[in-house]
Amino acid sequence: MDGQLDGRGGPRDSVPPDPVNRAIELLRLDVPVDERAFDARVLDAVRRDARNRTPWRRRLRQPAVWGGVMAIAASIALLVVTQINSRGPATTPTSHAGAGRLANTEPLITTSAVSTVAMRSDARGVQLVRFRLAGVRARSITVAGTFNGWNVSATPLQRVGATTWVVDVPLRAGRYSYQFVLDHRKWIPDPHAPRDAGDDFGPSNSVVTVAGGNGS
Amino acid sequence: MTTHSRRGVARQGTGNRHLWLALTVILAGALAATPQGTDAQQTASLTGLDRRVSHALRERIGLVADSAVAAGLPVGPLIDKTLEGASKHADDQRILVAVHAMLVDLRVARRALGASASEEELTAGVAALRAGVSPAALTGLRRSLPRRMLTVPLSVLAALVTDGAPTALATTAVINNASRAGDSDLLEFGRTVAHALAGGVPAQTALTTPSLPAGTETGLQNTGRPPSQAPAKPPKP
Repeated sequence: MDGQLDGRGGPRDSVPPDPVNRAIELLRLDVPVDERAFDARVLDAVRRDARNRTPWRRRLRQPAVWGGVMAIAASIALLVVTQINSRGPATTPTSHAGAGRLANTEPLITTSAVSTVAMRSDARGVQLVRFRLAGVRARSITVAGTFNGWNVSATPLQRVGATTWVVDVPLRAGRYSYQFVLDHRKWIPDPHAPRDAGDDFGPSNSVVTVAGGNGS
Repeated sequence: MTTHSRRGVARQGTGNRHLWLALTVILAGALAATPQGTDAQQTASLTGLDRRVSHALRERIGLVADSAVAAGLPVGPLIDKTLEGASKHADDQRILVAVHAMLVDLRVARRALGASASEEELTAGVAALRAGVSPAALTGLRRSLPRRMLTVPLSVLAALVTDGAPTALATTAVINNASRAGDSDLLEFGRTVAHALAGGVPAQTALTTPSLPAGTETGLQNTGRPPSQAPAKPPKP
């Protein structure tokens, strides 16, 4: 080791240029390159590699991908189920002649002598409630209650006789307060339905209770 | 690690990202679709009041709704009461008083029925309270029927008491019938007793007449009186 290194720790200047230094000098020389062709070759190589690396058939065989697909499907199903089960008061009332699936059913139960209620349940637990008012002369009759936001024009009854009016409303299980509205101004409770005890805004409301399943 | 295994890890990472993304979508969807009182839904409910009540009343109802949400109570019955008053052209002050009263009764019903009571059960509980049923009776009903949805039993109890049946007797009768029959049969029981009461049958007799199994057409169960005296059902419409 004696006398092999200079003061900076590098090889001594007396060492002649070797092949490595010559190679470095050659590499520093400008080399003509066709840049467009070079770019095209690189891009082709990248595309080929991408196609070879992840063909869609191979992707579909990967469990992680299927996990993602299943999770997305589950999320969609969950959204649908929650939307169906979320509390929504009344759905669209159906006419007596009825175009809806429920509207064509015959009543299972008649709960009073004159008015409410006929019921049949569909697969989602929605039951058809028939509001019926007889012996009343009016130009128009509607029913307003907790199932339609107490909207006096949302649920009109149809005349089915000289003084008999009917509308079928699909309702979920629950307890609903309501009154009939004659000619958009006169409120009358259902004369043959149970009544609420409260009287916050005049005559107490009528009540219809819709059973849900077996109740347990 | 070889190039192949590195690629496999990278692909697995992409799949995991899909999985997590989907799980995030599930959670977001579930939160958005949760049926009970989130702030967003409360806001939506209050927005429904915009065209129906004055701005001043809407603001004050909003404060009451805030109190309800803070107490873990549903906003729906408060909105319903507001809309009822607006449709019946009640003045703002009267509506506000009614909504406040509803909030108070909802609190009582919640205490009586427990924290797990649904909005429908609370609404039926309020109806029973207003009919004269005591909070203790509501609690007794809850304890007697711990796993049952109480909307129909409470509604039947409220109707019976409104029709003049003594609270204690009515509560016992509803518990007895509800413990062995479904909602439909319980509603039929309520209608039967109501007919009996309207026909002059003493409440104690109407309520304590032994019931027959559900679906039986004979005896006193469906009518509260002998079959020969039963009111004729109207023809199907």
